Amino acid sequence: MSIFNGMNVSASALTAQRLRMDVVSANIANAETTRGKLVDGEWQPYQRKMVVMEPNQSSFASHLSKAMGSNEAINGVKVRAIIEDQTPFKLVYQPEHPDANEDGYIQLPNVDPLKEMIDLIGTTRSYEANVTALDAHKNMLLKALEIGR
Amino acid sequence: MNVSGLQNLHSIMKPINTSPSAKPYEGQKAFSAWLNESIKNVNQAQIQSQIATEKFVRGENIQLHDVMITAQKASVSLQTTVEIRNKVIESYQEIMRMQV
Repeated sequence: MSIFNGMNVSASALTAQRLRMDVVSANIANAETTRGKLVDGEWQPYQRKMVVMEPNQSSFASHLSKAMGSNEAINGVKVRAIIEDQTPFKLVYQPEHPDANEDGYIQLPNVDPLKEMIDLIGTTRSYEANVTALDAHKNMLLKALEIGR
Repeated sequence: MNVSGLQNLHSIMKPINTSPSAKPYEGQKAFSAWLNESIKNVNQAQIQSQIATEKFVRGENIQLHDVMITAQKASVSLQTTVEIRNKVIESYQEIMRMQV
Protein backbone atom coordinates (compact mmCIF):
# COMPACT_ATOMS: atom_id res chain seq x y z
CA MET A 1 0.00 0.00 0.00
CA SER A 2 1.38 3.30 -1.10
CA ILE A 3 1.01 5.48 1.99
CA PHE A 4 3.04 3.02 4.05
CA ASN A 5 5.69 2.51 1.36
CA GLY A 6 8.23 4.69 3.13
CA MET A 7 7.63 2.80 6.35
CA ASN A 8 8.24 -0.49 4.55
CA VAL A 9 11.51 0.83 3.14
CA SER A 10 12.69 1.84 6.61
CA ALA A 11 11.52 -1.48 8.01
CA SER A 12 13.63 -3.39 5.50
CA ALA A 13 16.64 -1.28 6.45
CA LEU A 14 16.03 -1.97 10.14
CA THR A 15 15.90 -5.69 9.45
CA ALA A 16 19.12 -5.50 7.45
CA GLN A 17 20.88 -3.56 10.20
CA ARG A 18 19.74 -6.07 12.79
CA LEU A 19 21.30 -8.84 10.74
CA ARG A 20 24.49 -6.81 10.37
CA MET A 21 24.52 -6.35 14.14
CA ASP A 22 24.17 -10.12 14.59
CA VAL A 23 27.10 -10.71 12.24
CA VAL A 24 29.30 -8.17 14.06
CA SER A 25 28.40 -9.78 17.39
CA ALA A 26 29.31 -13.19 16.00
CA ASN A 27 32.67 -11.80 14.86
CA ILE A 28 33.40 -10.36 18.30
CA ALA A 29 32.26 -13.53 20.03
CA ASN A 30 34.49 -15.66 17.83
CA ALA A 31 37.53 -13.40 17.94
CA GLU A 32 39.55 -16.18 19.61
CA THR A 33 37.93 -19.23 18.02
CA THR A 34 40.59 -21.55 16.65
CA ARG A 35 38.19 -24.27 15.55
CA GLY A 36 35.90 -22.56 13.05
CA LYS A 37 35.56 -25.35 10.52
CA LEU A 38 37.20 -28.65 9.71
CA VAL A 39 39.09 -28.64 6.39
CA ASP A 40 40.81 -31.91 5.34
CA GLY A 41 40.90 -33.10 8.94
CA GLU A 42 42.51 -29.89 10.14
CA TRP A 43 40.86 -27.13 12.12
CA GLN A 44 40.66 -23.75 10.45
CA PRO A 45 40.06 -20.72 12.67
CA TYR A 46 36.88 -18.71 12.46
CA GLN A 47 36.76 -16.44 9.43
CA ARG A 48 35.46 -12.91 9.84
CA LYS A 49 32.04 -12.47 8.22
CA MET A 50 30.59 -9.46 6.45
CA VAL A 51 27.17 -8.66 5.03
CA VAL A 52 26.59 -7.62 1.43
CA MET A 53 23.53 -5.43 0.91
CA GLU A 54 21.62 -4.57 -2.23
CA PRO A 55 18.41 -2.76 -3.10
CA ASN A 56 15.37 -4.94 -2.76
CA GLN A 57 14.06 -5.23 -6.30
CA SER A 58 13.11 -8.84 -6.51
CA SER A 59 9.51 -8.49 -5.43
CA PHE A 60 6.94 -9.26 -8.09
CA ALA A 61 4.96 -6.16 -7.18
CA SER A 62 7.86 -3.81 -7.87
CA HIS A 63 8.53 -5.38 -11.28
CA LEU A 64 4.85 -5.19 -12.12
CA SER A 65 4.54 -1.54 -11.16
CA LYS A 66 7.61 -0.75 -13.22
CA ALA A 67 6.20 -2.61 -16.22
CA MET A 68 2.91 -0.77 -15.83
CA GLY A 69 4.79 2.48 -16.35
CA SER A 70 4.30 3.89 -12.90
CA ASN A 71 7.10 5.90 -11.40
CA GLU A 72 10.25 4.07 -10.42
CA ALA A 73 9.26 1.81 -7.57
CA ILE A 74 10.91 2.82 -4.32
CA ASN A 75 12.57 -0.19 -2.82
CA GLY A 76 14.08 -1.05 0.48
CA VAL A 77 17.30 -2.83 1.13
CA LYS A 78 18.04 -6.48 1.63
CA VAL A 79 21.03 -8.54 2.58
CA ARG A 80 22.23 -10.39 -0.48
CA ALA A 81 24.83 -12.57 1.19
CA ILE A 82 27.06 -13.03 4.18
CA ILE A 83 30.59 -13.42 2.87
CA GLU A 84 33.83 -14.39 4.59
CA ASP A 85 36.80 -12.08 4.88
CA GLN A 86 39.72 -13.61 2.96
CA THR A 87 42.51 -11.75 4.75
CA PRO A 88 45.13 -14.14 6.20
CA PHE A 89 44.85 -15.47 9.74
CA LYS A 90 47.01 -14.17 12.55
CA LEU A 91 49.85 -16.46 13.63
CA VAL A 92 50.63 -16.54 17.35
CA TYR A 93 53.37 -18.55 19.00
CA GLN A 94 51.66 -20.72 21.61
CA PRO A 95 53.20 -24.21 21.60
CA GLU A 96 51.12 -25.51 24.53
CA HIS A 97 47.87 -24.95 22.60
CA PRO A 98 46.26 -28.18 21.29
CA ASP A 99 45.75 -26.60 17.85
CA ALA A 100 49.35 -25.45 17.49
CA ASN A 101 51.25 -26.70 14.44
CA GLU A 102 54.63 -28.42 14.58
CA ASP A 103 56.40 -25.05 14.86
CA GLY A 104 54.31 -24.12 17.88
CA TYR A 105 52.16 -21.52 16.13
CA ILE A 106 48.38 -21.31 16.26
CA GLN A 107 46.20 -19.55 13.74
CA LEU A 108 43.82 -16.98 15.20
CA PRO A 109 40.79 -15.59 13.37
CA ASN A 110 41.27 -12.58 11.10
CA VAL A 111 38.94 -10.59 13.36
CA ASP A 112 40.15 -7.17 14.39
CA PRO A 113 38.18 -6.12 17.50
CA LEU A 114 38.82 -2.46 16.69
CA LYS A 115 37.22 -2.84 13.26
CA GLU A 116 34.32 -4.71 14.80
CA MET A 117 33.69 -1.96 17.32
CA ILE A 118 33.63 0.60 14.51
CA ASP A 119 31.20 -1.60 12.60
CA LEU A 120 29.11 -1.88 15.73
CA ILE A 121 28.89 1.89 16.09
CA GLY A 122 28.10 2.22 12.40
CA THR A 123 25.32 -0.33 12.69
CA THR A 124 23.82 1.35 15.74
CA ARG A 125 23.88 4.78 14.13
CA SER A 126 22.43 3.41 10.91
CA TYR A 127 19.62 1.77 12.85
CA GLU A 128 18.92 5.03 14.66
CA ALA A 129 18.90 6.94 11.36
CA ASN A 130 16.34 4.57 9.93
CA VAL A 131 14.16 4.80 13.05
CA THR A 132 14.32 8.59 12.69
CA ALA A 133 13.31 8.35 9.03
CA LEU A 134 10.42 6.10 9.99
CA ASP A 135 9.29 8.49 12.72
CA ALA A 136 9.49 11.39 10.29
CA HIS A 137 7.34 9.45 7.86
CA LYS A 138 4.76 8.72 10.51
CA ASN A 139 4.73 12.33 11.70
CA MET A 140 4.20 13.42 8.11
CA LEU A 141 1.15 11.18 7.84
CA LEU A 142 -0.21 12.49 11.13
CA LYS A 143 0.41 16.06 10.00
CA ALA A 144 -1.54 15.32 6.83
CA LEU A 145 -4.47 14.30 9.03
CA GLU A 146 -4.43 17.76 10.55
CA ILE A 147 -5.12 19.46 7.22
CA GLY A 148 -8.14 21.65 7.55
CA ARG A 149 -8.57 21.05 11.24
CA MET B 1 -4.47 -2.85 4.97
CA ASN B 2 -6.06 -0.42 2.57
CA VAL B 3 -7.43 3.06 2.91
CA SER B 4 -8.04 3.28 -0.82
CA GLY B 5 -11.65 2.75 0.17
CA LEU B 6 -11.57 6.46 0.86
CA GLN B 7 -11.64 7.05 -2.87
CA ASN B 8 -15.15 5.66 -2.79
CA LEU B 9 -16.03 8.93 -1.13
CA HIS B 10 -16.66 10.15 -4.67
CA SER B 11 -19.42 7.65 -5.08
CA ILE B 12 -21.08 8.99 -1.95
CA MET B 13 -20.74 12.61 -2.90
CA LYS B 14 -21.85 12.14 -6.48
CA PRO B 15 -25.53 11.41 -5.92
CA ILE B 16 -25.78 14.47 -3.71
CA ASN B 17 -23.87 16.82 -6.01
CA THR B 18 -24.66 15.89 -9.57
CA SER B 19 -27.75 13.76 -10.04
CA PRO B 20 -30.78 15.22 -8.33
CA SER B 21 -32.62 11.97 -9.04
CA ALA B 22 -30.63 10.12 -6.35
CA LYS B 23 -32.77 9.30 -3.37
CA PRO B 24 -31.52 9.94 0.16
CA TYR B 25 -31.85 6.25 0.80
CA GLU B 26 -29.31 5.42 -1.91
CA GLY B 27 -26.85 7.96 -0.57
CA GLN B 28 -27.24 6.51 2.88
CA LYS B 29 -26.68 3.02 1.57
CA ALA B 30 -23.54 4.04 -0.32
CA PHE B 31 -22.19 5.76 2.77
CA SER B 32 -22.84 2.87 5.09
CA ALA B 33 -21.24 0.46 2.62
CA TRP B 34 -18.17 2.67 2.40
CA LEU B 35 -17.99 3.09 6.17
CA ASN B 36 -18.28 -0.66 6.64
CA GLU B 37 -15.54 -1.27 4.12
CA SER B 38 -13.04 1.15 5.64
CA ILE B 39 -13.77 0.01 9.18
CA LYS B 40 -13.12 -3.53 7.98
CA ASN B 41 -9.78 -2.41 6.56
CA VAL B 42 -8.78 -0.67 9.77
CA ASN B 43 -9.84 -3.71 11.73
CA GLN B 44 -7.62 -5.80 9.47
CA ALA B 45 -4.66 -3.56 10.36
CA GLN B 46 -5.42 -3.94 14.06
CA ILE B 47 -5.64 -7.72 13.68
CA GLN B 48 -2.29 -7.79 11.88
CA SER B 49 -0.75 -5.77 14.68
CA GLN B 50 -2.21 -8.16 17.25
CA ILE B 51 -0.91 -11.19 15.35
CA ALA B 52 2.57 -9.64 15.20
CA THR B 53 2.51 -8.91 18.93
CA GLU B 54 1.39 -12.43 19.76
CA LYS B 55 4.09 -13.88 17.51
CA PHE B 56 6.69 -11.79 19.29
CA VAL B 57 5.45 -12.73 22.76
CA ARG B 58 5.42 -16.40 21.78
CA GLY B 59 9.05 -16.06 20.80
CA GLU B 60 8.56 -16.76 17.11
CA ASN B 61 10.90 -15.44 14.46
CA ILE B 62 9.75 -11.83 14.21
CA GLN B 63 11.74 -8.66 14.74
CA LEU B 64 10.80 -6.19 17.43
CA HIS B 65 10.76 -3.27 15.02
CA ASP B 66 8.36 -5.16 12.76
CA VAL B 67 5.97 -5.47 15.70
CA MET B 68 6.26 -1.76 16.46
CA ILE B 69 5.87 -0.71 12.83
CA THR B 70 2.77 -2.85 12.35
CA ALA B 71 1.31 -1.24 15.46
CA GLN B 72 2.13 2.23 14.12
CA LYS B 73 0.54 1.44 10.77
CA ALA B 74 -2.60 0.26 12.52
CA SER B 75 -2.63 3.42 14.61
CA VAL B 76 -2.25 5.71 11.58
CA SER B 77 -4.99 3.84 9.71
CA LEU B 78 -7.32 4.14 12.67
CA GLN B 79 -6.66 7.85 13.06
CA THR B 80 -7.27 8.39 9.34
CA THR B 81 -10.63 6.67 9.58
CA VAL B 82 -11.61 8.61 12.68
CA GLU B 83 -10.63 11.85 10.94
CA ILE B 84 -12.70 11.06 7.84
CA ARG B 85 -15.62 10.00 9.99
CA ASN B 86 -15.41 13.29 11.90
CA LYS B 87 -15.44 15.24 8.64
CA VAL B 88 -18.48 13.36 7.35
CA ILE B 89 -20.40 13.76 10.61
CA GLU B 90 -19.46 17.42 10.66
CA SER B 91 -20.86 18.03 7.20
CA TYR B 92 -23.99 16.07 8.12
CA GLN B 93 -24.52 18.26 11.17
CA GLU B 94 -23.83 21.37 9.13
CA ILE B 95 -26.63 20.39 6.77
CA MET B 96 -28.94 19.50 9.64
CA ARG B 97 -28.45 22.96 11.11
CA MET B 98 -29.46 24.58 7.84
CA GLN B 99 -32.44 26.95 8.12
CA VAL B 100 -35.34 26.25 5.79
